[in-house]
Amino acid sequence: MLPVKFDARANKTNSGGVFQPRMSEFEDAKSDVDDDTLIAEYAAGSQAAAREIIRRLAPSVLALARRMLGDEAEAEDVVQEAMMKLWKIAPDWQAGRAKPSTWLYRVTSNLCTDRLRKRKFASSEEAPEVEDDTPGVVETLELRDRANAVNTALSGLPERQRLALHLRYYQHLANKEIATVLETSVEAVESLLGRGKRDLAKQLIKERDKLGLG
Amino acid sequence: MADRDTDDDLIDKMLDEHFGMEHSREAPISAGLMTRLIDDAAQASVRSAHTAHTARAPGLLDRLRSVFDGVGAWQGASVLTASALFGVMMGYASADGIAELPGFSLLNETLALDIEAEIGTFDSVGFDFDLPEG
Repeated sequence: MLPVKFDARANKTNSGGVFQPRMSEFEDAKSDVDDDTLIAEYAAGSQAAAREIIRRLAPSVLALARRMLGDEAEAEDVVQEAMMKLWKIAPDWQAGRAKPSTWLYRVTSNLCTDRLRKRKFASSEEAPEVEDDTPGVVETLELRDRANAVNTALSGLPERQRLALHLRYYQHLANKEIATVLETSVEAVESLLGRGKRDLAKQLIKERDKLGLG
Repeated sequence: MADRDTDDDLIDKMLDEHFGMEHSREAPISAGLMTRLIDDAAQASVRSAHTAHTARAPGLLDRLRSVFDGVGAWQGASVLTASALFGVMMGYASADGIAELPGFSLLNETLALDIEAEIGTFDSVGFDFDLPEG
């Protein structure tokens, strides 16, 4: 294994403080390595492997946490916690048992659920509105309003329904993977998705006029 | 959507459109979060390596055991050590005290000879035991 010293500062840019990965020769080589191997390499001491794992998995974990929590700072904390759990389990990671991304989704969803429960316990405030800021997707103001209405309605659904819908439609996971994340059967996932969409539609009917569907 | 979610066609259509859109499955990671994640990975790696090293380092007992295991004499050595300790303890407990201990008996023997030699010289000194007449 090549000894590579990583300097996080070298990868920073001033473009809004967003991480822009610098693709070095070594990183190019790493991009062909599967996630399980990267975890094994990290466990053996490779920080380059850790950086590649972060580059691959952290953005989707952050997206899930953001959608579930609706709070950027809290979502970042959850990502940090979830990734820390991955670093700790790395020496005992069993390749082929679960996909690292699926494992991380499960850990992340559990961490988010814990935080949401604490939030509910601490305050009776409604869940915050989750803005759909997907660039280039929502082209008109009307569509943006509708997307925000759907996301707001989503935040009012029961946790498991909401999580199932997030994983299916935003993270593009197959029902089998969602079942692994939620630790349930594929049939139960199908049921959660069906009920989730029906409940979502019921919520949106109330907003029919506002959405320009009246 | 294969099955209808509601009786409202427009809402169904809107949901279909919304979920049918290509939503980004990733959120951009800020430079600050990236630095935190990389720092965590480095620290966890160091801690893990330290734990593994500590777990591998054999203790004194382990080292002794491995030595004795090699010749199958671990139990014999234990018995011998216990016997030696018992002997020493019995020596201290003896009515004759320290003189009974091995090594000290030789010292005692040497001292006794010296005393006898001193007594042997008394005859040659020529003491006058007669009392002076008053």
